[in-house]
Amino acid sequence: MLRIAVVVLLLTLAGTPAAAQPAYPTRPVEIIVAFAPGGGADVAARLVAAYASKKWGQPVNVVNMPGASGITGTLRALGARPDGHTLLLEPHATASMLFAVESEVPFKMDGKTPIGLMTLDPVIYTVKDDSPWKTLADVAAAAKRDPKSFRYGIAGVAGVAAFSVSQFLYGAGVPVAETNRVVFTGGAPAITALAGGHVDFAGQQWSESAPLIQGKKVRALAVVHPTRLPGLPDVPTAKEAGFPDLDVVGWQGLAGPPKLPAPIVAKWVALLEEASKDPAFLEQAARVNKVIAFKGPDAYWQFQQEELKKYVPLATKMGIRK
Amino acid sequence: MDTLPFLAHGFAAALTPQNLLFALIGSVLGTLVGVLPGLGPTSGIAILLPLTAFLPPAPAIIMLAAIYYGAMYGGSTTAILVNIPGEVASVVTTLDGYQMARQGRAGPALAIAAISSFVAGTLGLVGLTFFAPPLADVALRIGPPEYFGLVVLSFSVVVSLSGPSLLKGLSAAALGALVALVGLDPMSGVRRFTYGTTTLLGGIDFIAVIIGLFAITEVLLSVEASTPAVSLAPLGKLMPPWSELRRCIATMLRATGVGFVLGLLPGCTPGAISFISYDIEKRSSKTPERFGHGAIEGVAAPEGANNATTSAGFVPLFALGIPATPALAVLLSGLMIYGLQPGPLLFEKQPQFVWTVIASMYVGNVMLLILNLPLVGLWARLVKVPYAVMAPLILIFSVIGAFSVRNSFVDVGMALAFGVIGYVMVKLGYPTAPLVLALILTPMLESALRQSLSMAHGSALVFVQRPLALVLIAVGLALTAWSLLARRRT
Amino acid sequence: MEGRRAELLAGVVLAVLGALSLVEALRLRDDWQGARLMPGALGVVLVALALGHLISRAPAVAPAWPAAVGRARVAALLVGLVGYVVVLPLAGFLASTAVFVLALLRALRGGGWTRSLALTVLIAAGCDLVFRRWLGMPLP
Repeated sequence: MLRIAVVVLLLTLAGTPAAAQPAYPTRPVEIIVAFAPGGGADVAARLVAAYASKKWGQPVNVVNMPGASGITGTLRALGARPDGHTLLLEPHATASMLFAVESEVPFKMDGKTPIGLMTLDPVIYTVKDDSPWKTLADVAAAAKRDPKSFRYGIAGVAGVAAFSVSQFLYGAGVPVAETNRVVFTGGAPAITALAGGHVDFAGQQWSESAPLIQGKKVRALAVVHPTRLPGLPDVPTAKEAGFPDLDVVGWQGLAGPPKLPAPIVAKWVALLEEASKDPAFLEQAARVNKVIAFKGPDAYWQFQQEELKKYVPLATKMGIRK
Repeated sequence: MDTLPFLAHGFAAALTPQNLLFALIGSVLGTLVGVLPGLGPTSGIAILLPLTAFLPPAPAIIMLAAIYYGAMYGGSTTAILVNIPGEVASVVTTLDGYQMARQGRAGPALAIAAISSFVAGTLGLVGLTFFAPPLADVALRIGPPEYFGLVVLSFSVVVSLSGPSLLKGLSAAALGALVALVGLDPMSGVRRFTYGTTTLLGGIDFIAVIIGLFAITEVLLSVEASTPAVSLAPLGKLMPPWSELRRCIATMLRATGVGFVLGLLPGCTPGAISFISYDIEKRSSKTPERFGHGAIEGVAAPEGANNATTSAGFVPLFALGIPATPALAVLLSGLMIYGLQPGPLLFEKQPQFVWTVIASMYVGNVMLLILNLPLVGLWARLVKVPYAVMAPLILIFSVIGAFSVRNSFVDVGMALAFGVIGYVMVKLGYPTAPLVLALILTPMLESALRQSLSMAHGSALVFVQRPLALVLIAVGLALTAWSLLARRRT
Repeated sequence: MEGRRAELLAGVVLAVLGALSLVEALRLRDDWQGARLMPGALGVVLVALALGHLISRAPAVAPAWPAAVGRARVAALLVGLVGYVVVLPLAGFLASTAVFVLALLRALRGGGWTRSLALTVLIAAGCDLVFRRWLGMPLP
């Protein structure tokens, strides 16, 4: 009896009847995330997917295709039929940073239909909670004084943190080549190592750093954002901390395969814009440590190109441009 | 000690009919998902996460946690019955579990797996309940040099599992290490062994290799005979005799200890932990030669260690907001969407929520035991299903399982390739366990080594300067030496 | 001598893999303590193991290859499996699985067609329902 009930329950939950939609979407939509579940890109996708499902009555499913720093999944999404039922969640990594670093990317930066920017994940510079360094200036001074014992942790040689920390160190005149760069495989291991005192400094994204900051294991020194973050009112902005030129930020947006029809793009743009003003959605986003920032397709494309321009010289300086 | 009243409240909430129902559904779903090869806890939670979106937060989390535990248990069922580990952690269970099934002792194997999982999981939860915050802090102190020490320790297991020929065992391990290196280097992003293709860019997936080496190889081997069957021995009793159970008590306690302590460390792969636990058990036994041929402790140890690890994994998750495994990372994002802010403040700000979830994990463990012990009879009988039906099912599940990892057919191809490789290896007398262990350990070895060196500007002295790391390395070398000497004697 | 030959072959394979590893280590443009560390070290280990195979004086175990009939069965299964995987993205999950299952059932149990067909429908349709429709996996 219980089993029957369970089966009925599950079948009803799983088989959402398609509401009578005259137009798109007429079947379930897939948003491909080229990264593992639970990561920054995945969380952003699931937020939007849930919102869109509820709005349109059609399931919008997140499909994870991790591997090769996001190249595998991105290739699959861009090669899909442009009928609006397969979309791509684009994080900064595959939309701009990759092109600043790699010369042979299997897809072109303009080989897609940009839909819009959805979320930002600001960079937060952090040190261990009991560190003697209380401001970014302290860190810069210490690193200049004794670069050989200065250890910083980053997630990936060409990730957000690599750029954010390098930008800070180079900008502050620290002899970077003499410092110790410890590379981790993800944001969580990097921040964990910071909390454990195995490295002295980090510059990961908000969603990666938030739990340990809130848990008082790690201290935030500054956030790279025009204003202070609502969840971290005591943390100054980079500008306030005396480093106005820091501008590396993580973000996630939505795109589709090339030649996606305009009405479908318009529908999504309208949804994203609406979500960005919906208080319930904003609250949900804040809970998973994402800042909602909306840009329409043209502004989004412009933004990506500006980002690329920003990263190329930095990548060259860091010696990672291939 | 205000933990107990909170826990009591938690139990009150967890034992409501609604929450019990969801714990039950989660356990069942999780077990089913875990039984399917390739669909481990990670994909299980990811796939089933949308289903929980319709529920209020507490039942949703209860269900997700139950799915997680269930999936961990489900993986061992197929490991024992048909030599297909449901996920990474069940690989070790196949070593003795499948042998027991072939001897007609599938029942006792399944039973001890359930019992050991229950005991270790529950004890682990006790650790979580009372010691979470301080344990999490200790776990933070384990950095790259210490992880390197752990890897050296794990290496001694390779020697132990090499079977009669050390040369062949090491060769298998070396092959496993090579497979692990294919793809993008996770730290520097450099392409290795991809030879210009995008196919190999994502690396060779671990699950695909396991499916190939265990499931497909086994089918290829079985098909040689004209009347293949998993077990030609008559099906014996369903429960292990008391004498064996009594022997396993010490095993379960040891496994709980090892699994829990190592499970606290986010950088320590759970698969490696079950190998270590198995090896410790083998060394503690007065008759180690039984291991690998159907020793019941060989099932009790890894199963217990797995569940203790599962429980321990929640310590950094709740206390620090750090997921120790990909499955927990998905769980974490689910938790956050439901308004749970993991981190040290969790216990202060949302005690009700946390304790309800923890209480329902206890309940879930009991539920799994109650669900599965009676089912042992049913599962054990599966061994008698005609092979003509089993073989296609195993192969289809293998294909689906390999596909499901990254929704890619490349992985299916890999599984097939390793099916053939495994077949050849078995025929030539090369043990597959070291290959799998090396495959698991190499990423950990590489990152620990490189990170440690870069912490000290490339100097290897970093290992000597940190006492804990030094101790672990020394113990690892000692264990390896012990294993080598033990081989000389036999 | 079968066993000895097999061991030498294995040794050669290991040597080749070791060489590939060393070549890759040399080709990479990174530090020796970076991405090149493991391929380099592993290359050396593989070559050492290959040498170990060559000079090993342990009695060689002859591999237990199956008799001709067994070999044919294994080969047939492999061909069938490869065929299934190749056809799957083209013909869709339901159709390919049905054909595969039917072929295997017939090959392994012989007997009547009705039973085989019934089982085929049960298995193929069941899998399709559970994995593709219910769990929503993106199978073709």
